[in-house]
Amino acid sequence: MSRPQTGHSWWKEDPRNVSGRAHALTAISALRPHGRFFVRAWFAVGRRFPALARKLRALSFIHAARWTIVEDLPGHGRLRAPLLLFESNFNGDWGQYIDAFAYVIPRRMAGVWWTSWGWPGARPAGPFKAYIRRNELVAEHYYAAYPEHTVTEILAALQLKEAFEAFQARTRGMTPAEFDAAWTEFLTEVQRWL
Amino acid sequence: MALNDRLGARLRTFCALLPIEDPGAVRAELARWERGAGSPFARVAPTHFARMVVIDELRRDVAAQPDNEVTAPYLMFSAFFDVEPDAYLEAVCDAMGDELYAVLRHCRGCPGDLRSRGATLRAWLARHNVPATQIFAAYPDASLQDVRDALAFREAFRRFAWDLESRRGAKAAFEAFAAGERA
Repeated sequence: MSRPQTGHSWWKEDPRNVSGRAHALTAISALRPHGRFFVRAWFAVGRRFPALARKLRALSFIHAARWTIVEDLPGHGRLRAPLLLFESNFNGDWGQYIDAFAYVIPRRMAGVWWTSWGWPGARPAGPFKAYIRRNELVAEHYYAAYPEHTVTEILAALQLKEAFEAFQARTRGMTPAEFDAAWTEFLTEVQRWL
Repeated sequence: MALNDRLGARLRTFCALLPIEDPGAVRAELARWERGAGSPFARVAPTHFARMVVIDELRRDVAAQPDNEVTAPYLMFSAFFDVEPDAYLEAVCDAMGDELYAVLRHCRGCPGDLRSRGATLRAWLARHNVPATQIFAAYPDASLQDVRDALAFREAFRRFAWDLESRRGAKAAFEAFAAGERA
């Protein structure tokens, strides 16, 4: 059975993967022998040293992502080549998303996918994009609860609200003149989140 | 899920892989679902993101790759949310009843409709869950309500701050103008 044809050029996003500014990426690759141990160890290192995720966080266009190693497929049983299932919810352009993976965090990407069959390496980005496209699946239905908002906007909103609550608490009891000075300072502080 | 549990983060995930008997029928049912604000998932309050994907085959990238010999197509039902998975599945079954059953009845072993077999169907979904190995979240501690509240607050605050600043600016401009007139 062949994969459904989307009728789109390989660099264009299938509209079913898009909701407003949110995009879904779903990709499945098969792991080489012992690949699951390496991938699990890589993630364990990432959990022990959260600084490793800092660059990923700094990219600020991935809402949430999930990696799943499937060794036992429900309704089938043990797989000869375990699967690595990757799901991402991001904002922005698909090509830029893969470029960022390839050029900003290539080692982190390699750490996850180098044990997958057919992995061409993160750089250059062309073969990497072709590899993702080959292994990508189209969502028949995709839902995002806040489709018009980017990760940057959401982070800014959450930080602004937190800063505002702190400001409100520390200015309680100030005189109008003291408050005016504090307000000006506060606006300068939160300007980047407006 | 263990990662987020350990960090005390609120984001949870669920992903079920369900063998399909009739992928065409699953696609046809999913094509009927409204998208955006009309999506059935919009009625499931804790949902941040959700997707339904039909996996027709597990392709081999290179000839040396072992064949998993999986003959059935699969439906992937995956969601990111901020309550416990059991509570989420209950909310899904309650809010998406008929639409969800219309899709799931084409999957192998679907125990029945949600109204009469709700608990059994939830257990069946849970049995097909594949637990996450790793989760990344840009704002892992924020619930859906937190995100919505913060976005609404940001809009309101921007309007308030700009309005206040424009009036301040007007006064300052007026005073500068008045001072210039007096000189």
